[in-house]
Amino acid sequence: MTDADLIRAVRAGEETALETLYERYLPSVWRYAFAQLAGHTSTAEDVVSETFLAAVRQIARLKPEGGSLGGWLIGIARHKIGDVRRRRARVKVGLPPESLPQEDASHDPSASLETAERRAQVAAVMDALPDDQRLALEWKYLDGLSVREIAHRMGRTDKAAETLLYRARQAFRETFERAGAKGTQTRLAR
Amino acid sequence: MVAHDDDRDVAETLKAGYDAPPPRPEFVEEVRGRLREELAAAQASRRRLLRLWRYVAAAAAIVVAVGLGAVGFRDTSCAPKEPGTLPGPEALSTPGRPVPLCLQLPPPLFLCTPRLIRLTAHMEPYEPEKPRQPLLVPPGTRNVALAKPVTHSDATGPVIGHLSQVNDGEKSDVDGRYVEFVPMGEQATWIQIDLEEPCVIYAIALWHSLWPTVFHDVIVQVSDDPAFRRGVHTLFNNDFDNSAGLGAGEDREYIEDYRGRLIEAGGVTARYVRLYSRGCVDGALDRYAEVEVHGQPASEAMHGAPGSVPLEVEAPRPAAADGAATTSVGLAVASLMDTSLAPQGTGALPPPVPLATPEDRRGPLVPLELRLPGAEFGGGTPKHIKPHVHLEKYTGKPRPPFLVPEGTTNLARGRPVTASDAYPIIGQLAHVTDGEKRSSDGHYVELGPGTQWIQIDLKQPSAIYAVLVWHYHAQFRVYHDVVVQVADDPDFIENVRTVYNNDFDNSSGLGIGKDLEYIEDYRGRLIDAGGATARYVRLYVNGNTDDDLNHYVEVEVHAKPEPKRVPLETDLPVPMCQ
Repeated sequence: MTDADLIRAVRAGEETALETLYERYLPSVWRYAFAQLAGHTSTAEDVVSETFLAAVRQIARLKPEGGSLGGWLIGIARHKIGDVRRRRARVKVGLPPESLPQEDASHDPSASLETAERRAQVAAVMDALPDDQRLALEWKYLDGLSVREIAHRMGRTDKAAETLLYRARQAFRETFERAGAKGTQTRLAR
Repeated sequence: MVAHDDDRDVAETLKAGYDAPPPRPEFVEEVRGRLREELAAAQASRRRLLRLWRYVAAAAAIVVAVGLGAVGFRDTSCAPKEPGTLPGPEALSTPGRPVPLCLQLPPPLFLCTPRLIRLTAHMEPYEPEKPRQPLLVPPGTRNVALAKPVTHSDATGPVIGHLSQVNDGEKSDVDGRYVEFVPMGEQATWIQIDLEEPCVIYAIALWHSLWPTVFHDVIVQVSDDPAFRRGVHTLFNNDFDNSAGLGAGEDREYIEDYRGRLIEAGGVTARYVRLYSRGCVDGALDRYAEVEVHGQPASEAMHGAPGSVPLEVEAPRPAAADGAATTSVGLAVASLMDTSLAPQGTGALPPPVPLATPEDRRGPLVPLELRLPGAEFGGGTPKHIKPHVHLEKYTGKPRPPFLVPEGTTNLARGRPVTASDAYPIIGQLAHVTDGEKRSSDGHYVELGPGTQWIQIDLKQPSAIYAVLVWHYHAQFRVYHDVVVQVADDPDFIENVRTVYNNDFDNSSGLGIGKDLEYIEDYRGRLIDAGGATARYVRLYVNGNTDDDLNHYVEVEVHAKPEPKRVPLETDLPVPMCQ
C-alpha cells in the first residue's frame, strides 16, 4: 500500500490502514525523536505519541498526492520537539542519554562524549536531508527493507527508488563531511 | 567515513550514529490504542458534521420545493394517464382490477443532479425527471412489512437508530428516523424482515438514504427459510463483480433519492426478506431509512381476496450469466389463486455464504476469523499480467465471509513442513507455518524452479475446512499450477483428495484443474476444503509470472482435530485363556 493509499484509507476511517501507517512510521519517528532529544526516552515517548495523535486528527487536511507522509510526520515531530524545548527549558539537547546503546567504551568518559557527539552529528545530518532521502536511508540501512519494498511504500518504480537511494547516500556523505568540517556544535545549537 | 565505492560506510555510520533502541512494547501498544480511539472519535465527528450539513440542506430543499409547489409527494408511477391528478382511494379498492402500486414518498432532499458521484459502467444514469413505470398489483396489496420483526447479520447492532426503524413507516433521513451500521468486517451485511407468515410479494420498496449516494452490492432475496439456505429467490442483485459472494448480479447500481428503489417481486411467496449491502460511496457504512414489502398474506390470496386476478407484469428477466450462482425472479404469476404456480424452490440459490455441505459441518457455524498482513503494493490494475480465460479477474475487493464450525483453528501453525526441494534457495521451510504473512525478506521461503510442493503434517487427522495460502504477494504475480491436496499418509498414496487445482493444462501432471489462476495479494487465497478429514496437506506450485521460482510466505490450515476414537468393547483384545 503506497502512502497515498494509506492516507485515503485512514481518512475513510479504516483501522487497518491506521495500523499500517503506525507500524510503517513508528520506527522513523521514534528514531528521529530519540536522536533529537539525545536519547531522552520518556520525552521521546511523549513526542512520538503526540505526533501520531496529531497526525490522526489532522490527516483530513493532508492531500494524498501532496507529499511524503513520512516527511509530514517528521515535520509534526519537529514541531512537538520545539514545543517540548520551549515548555521545559531544562530539557536540553545534550542531556545525558539514559538509553543509548552501551558500547564497549562506555566506561571511558571521553569515548562516551565522542559517541554522543557523533550521534548528534549524524542526527543533524539526517535532519538536514530531504524527507524522502532520509526515509530511504532509514528503511534501507536500519529497517532492512529491500529496494523493491521501499519503492512500493513510496509508490515509485524500483529504478526510481534505487536512484533515490544513490542520491541519498551521496547527500548523506557530503552533508556529513561538511558538518564535520564546520563542527557539530554550531549545527546543533539552532 | 570510509571509501565511497559501496554503501557500507553509510550503513555503518547510520547504525552506529542514528539507530535507537526500540521503544517499549507497552508504550507502542498504548499509543496504538489511543490512535484507534482517536480515529473513531474523528469519524464520529465527521458523521456529525455531515448530518448537520444535511439538516441545513434538507431545510433549504424543502423551502425550495414548497416554493415551487412541489407538494404532495406521491409516486408518479401510480399517476393516471391524465396529468395533474392522482388516483384516489377508490381506485385502489375497485375489486377485480389490478391497480397501480402507489407509494407515499418523502420530500426530496435535493433538487439537482449529484455531481460528486462518478457514474460507472455498472451504474444507471440518474434521471429524476423520468417517471417510474407504473407497477400493477392486485387490490388489497399493502405494506406487509410494517412494524414486523427485523434482524441484522452484525451482532454488534446499529451505530445509529434502532432496527425497528427499518420498517416503521418513516422514510426520513434525519437522526432518529433511520438505522445505520458500521460493519466490523469488510463483508456484505444484511437485514432481514420476518413477515410472520408466508406472503405473496409483488414489490419491495427500499430507501437506503434520501441523499445522493450509491450503495454497493445491493442484493434483495426472499425465502421461506429464516437461514436462507433453501428456497431462496434473488429479486435484485447489483453486485456486478460478485464481491459479496452471492453470485454476480445483472442489476445496476443506482443513485439514492427520495423515490427509493422499487423492486418487482412478481408475486413470489415467501415469509422472510433479506437485504444485503456492502458500504456506499461515502464509506463503510450501511444505512436503511425504510423498507416496504408490498404484498398480501398468502392465506388471504388463497381464500380469494378481492383482486385475485392475473397480473400484467413484465416478461421474466433473463437469469444472470452465472446461472449457478444467482437467479433473478421476474416471474409472471398466472394466478394468485393457484400459488403452486409461484416458484417453490425452483431455481433455488446456494446458501448466502460459501459453505461445504451442511452434513460436513460440525457444530454451529461462525465466520472464519483471519489476521491479514498489510497490503504490500498499492493495488490498481496489474498491467503486465494479461488477462486470459483461466485467470480470475482481479478486483482487490474484500472476500465474503466464510463460515466454519465453531472451534475451528489454524492447526498448521508451528507444524513441521517438508518439501520436494530440501534445500530452499532463500529462507527456511519453517517460515511457511510461523504465522508471519508479510512478504518481506526473511519471511518467505524460495524453492527451486519447476513443480515443487510443500507438505504440512497436522499431527493428527483433522476435519479441514479452509486452507489459506500466501505466495509472494509484494507485487502483482500469478503463481502457476496451484494444486492443494489432502491425504491420510505422508506419501500421498492413500485417500488423496484434491481441494484446489488451477493447472488448466495439466502441465504439472496432477490432472486438469477447473479452478482459476489468480493474482496474489495480501489476502492470500482461501480454499474451501469442505471439511475433508486428513492429516497431511500438500501444496504444489510451478513458477510464477515473474520467474520460474516458487515462493511460500505462509500457509494456514483451518481445521478441527477429529475426536480420538474410543475403542468399543468388541475392539479390545480378548485375553487369552490359559
